[in-house]
Amino acid sequence: MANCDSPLIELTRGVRPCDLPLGVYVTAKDGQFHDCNDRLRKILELPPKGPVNDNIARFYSNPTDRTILMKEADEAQPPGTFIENRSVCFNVKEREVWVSLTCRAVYVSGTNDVVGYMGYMVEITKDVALGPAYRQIMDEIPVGVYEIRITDGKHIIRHCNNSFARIYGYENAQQIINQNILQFYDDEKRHEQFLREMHKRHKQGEPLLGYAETVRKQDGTLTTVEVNSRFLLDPENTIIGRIGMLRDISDETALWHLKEDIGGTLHHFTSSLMMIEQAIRPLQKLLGRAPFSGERIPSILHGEAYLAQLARRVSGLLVALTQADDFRKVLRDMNIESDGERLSQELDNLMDYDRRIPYPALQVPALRDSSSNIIDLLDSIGIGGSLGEQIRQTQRATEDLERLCCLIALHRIVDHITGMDHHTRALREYVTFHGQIHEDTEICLLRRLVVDGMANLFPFARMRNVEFTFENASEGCMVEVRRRHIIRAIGNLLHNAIKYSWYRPAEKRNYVKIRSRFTGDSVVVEIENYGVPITKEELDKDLIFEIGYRGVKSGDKGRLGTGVGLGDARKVAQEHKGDVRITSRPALPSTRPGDYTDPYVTTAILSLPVHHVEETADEI
Amino acid sequence: MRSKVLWIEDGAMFEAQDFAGPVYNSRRYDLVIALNISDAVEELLKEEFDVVIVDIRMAPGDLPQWVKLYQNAGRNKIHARLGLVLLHCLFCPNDIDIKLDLIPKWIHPNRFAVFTVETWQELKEHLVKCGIEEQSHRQKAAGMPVTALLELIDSVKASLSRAGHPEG
Repeated sequence: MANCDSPLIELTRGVRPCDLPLGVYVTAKDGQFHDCNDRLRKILELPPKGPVNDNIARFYSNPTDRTILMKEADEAQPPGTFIENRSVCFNVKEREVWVSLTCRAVYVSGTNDVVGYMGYMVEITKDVALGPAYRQIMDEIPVGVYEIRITDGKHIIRHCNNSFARIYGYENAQQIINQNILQFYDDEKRHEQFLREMHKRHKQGEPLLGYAETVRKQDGTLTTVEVNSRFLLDPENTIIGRIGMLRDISDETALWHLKEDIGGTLHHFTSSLMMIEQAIRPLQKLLGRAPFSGERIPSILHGEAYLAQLARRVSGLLVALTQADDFRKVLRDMNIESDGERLSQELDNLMDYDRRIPYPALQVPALRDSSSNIIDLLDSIGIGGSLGEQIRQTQRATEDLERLCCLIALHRIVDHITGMDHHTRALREYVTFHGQIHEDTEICLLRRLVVDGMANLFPFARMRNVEFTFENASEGCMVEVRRRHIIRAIGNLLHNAIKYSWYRPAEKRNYVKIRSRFTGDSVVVEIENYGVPITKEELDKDLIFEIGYRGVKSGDKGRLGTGVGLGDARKVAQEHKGDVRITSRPALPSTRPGDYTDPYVTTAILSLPVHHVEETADEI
Repeated sequence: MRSKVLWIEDGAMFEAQDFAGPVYNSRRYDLVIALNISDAVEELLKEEFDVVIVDIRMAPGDLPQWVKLYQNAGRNKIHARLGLVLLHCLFCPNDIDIKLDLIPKWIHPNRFAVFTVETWQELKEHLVKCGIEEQSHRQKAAGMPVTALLELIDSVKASLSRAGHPEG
């Protein structure tokens, strides 16, 4: 040992009298001081006189800095070369002291055995770039910045700014530094859950971002913070702590609770919609066979023909009735001639409705209103005798007309409800689960996700007379996703495709074409429809992906929408390292650029990274 | 001769269509519908109406100045309240940037009414400024009779009569 130390003792002789404005020192290999000069004692606030019974290693704010520095000194070539001018932060009595440090390894003579280190340092705290100005910024920035080190299994706050301290109810950083972060957790399991999420992200080579956490303040009250953090590693890649940023989002927590309430209300909406829809279906059946095929909403053109036919029939019967001498006499006798006049007015309404009402969509409610009035009038007149059968016949025909109007209205309502159903469910999912990243990913078969998305939309597609075609050129493709979110994203794209499909008179059905294929390490799902255009400006500026935005042409024909679907779908895809793009081109070669009165072929392209697995996934 | 009524309502063909039936069947009014503000402006400049019923949450249509206004409001009908802007444009033109080339002489607040989901309290400040009184405001709500629009039109006509308006 004495032999090993002899070079240090030799060096020490020259250290003490050294009167340069430099802190000069000699240490053993573990950092224990052999000696130092007065300047160094001053820098590190060591006792001014006597032996220095201390270790330089304990002064390093970041122990890793010393590990790295010593490693470089040990490996320097030729041996004994100085490692020069390294900025190092020391922690001197809870104060940061920055030095520019130069050092080298000291060897046992004639060997490669390092026996210690010697070097010198100049204090640069005032000059260091990350000095007062930086500290001021760090302290005033309205987010908490921190560094936590793992020491003996404890997660100790080593550095932080004042904002971080204030989040926990302290006045300044010094009051919270060196405390165990665990004491600010209401439940140890929450900390474990947080660390699991950190590890999960770390494995993916990413920081943990936007993690919402409930923490306990100094006074015991709970608050909610958003954590953004990444692990600190030593040279061997062992996790030694973490750094990060906290944001107090307690105000937003109230909004979260509100979101939960809205989510609950929307849940009631979905239940109510289902209940209404189920109640309407037998009502439709009860009202009689619809004069249109299947469950497809009748085009007003088809409905028009039936309406005109029935309106003509009722008109004919009413003309015969109101012109009958007996009828007029009875009205006179009963002194209800005004009812006769009102009946004549409704007769006029039936006879000229198509000329009088220029908007086909408004003819149905007007005819329904007329037929209802006619039935009420005939009921109130209540003539029996010779006119009895004629009146009953007129009433029956008018009831048919009213029934047809009601049926058309019911079909519109069911169509509306079916369209709303997806919006309401998707909005509920969005409101309830948006921003929550706690759900684990699963390895899923892409085909199954698409089929599940389609299955949710079948009722709406049937209602709109739309048929899905699925060309799967990516059979067996697996993706690692949060299943529910991806199914919602696919559902949003399918729903748009159905909703914005135009009725094509020449075709028996409309088609939404779904294609999947591999492209590099990704798989794309294309969902194509024929119908409502998306303008070039909306595509170029990505407007259609803005939450709340509704396309310029989206609102025609009373199409409902929340403006959430596409933006939500893209966000979900991007959270999975994928994307959603949209193209929209004229369906007809004759369409001029900028003419959005013609149909367009619109394609939503969802891309996701392929998950390459050797073993079979747990999902089929 | 039937009175001419302009109904400025973007849901006229859909969720609000039932209100039109009684108006047509009364045979007292020729109902013209404007589904957006640009169409409404066109109709107002084209011919004279006895009664104009305005919805507040309206789409802009194609006229660039209204489209721009809508875009500036985040393309949101609720925020843009273009129906209200139209009323300001007609009755308080100095208070507002958007201008019409011409305001026809027949246009008078007495002929206008508002049929909307917004309450009177929400709109009071603006409507009073435009000269539209509370009796000419109806709030749309579930369960209201399908004759609500007809009754509102009748009410405007009746108040014009009381005021001795030549059209009354």
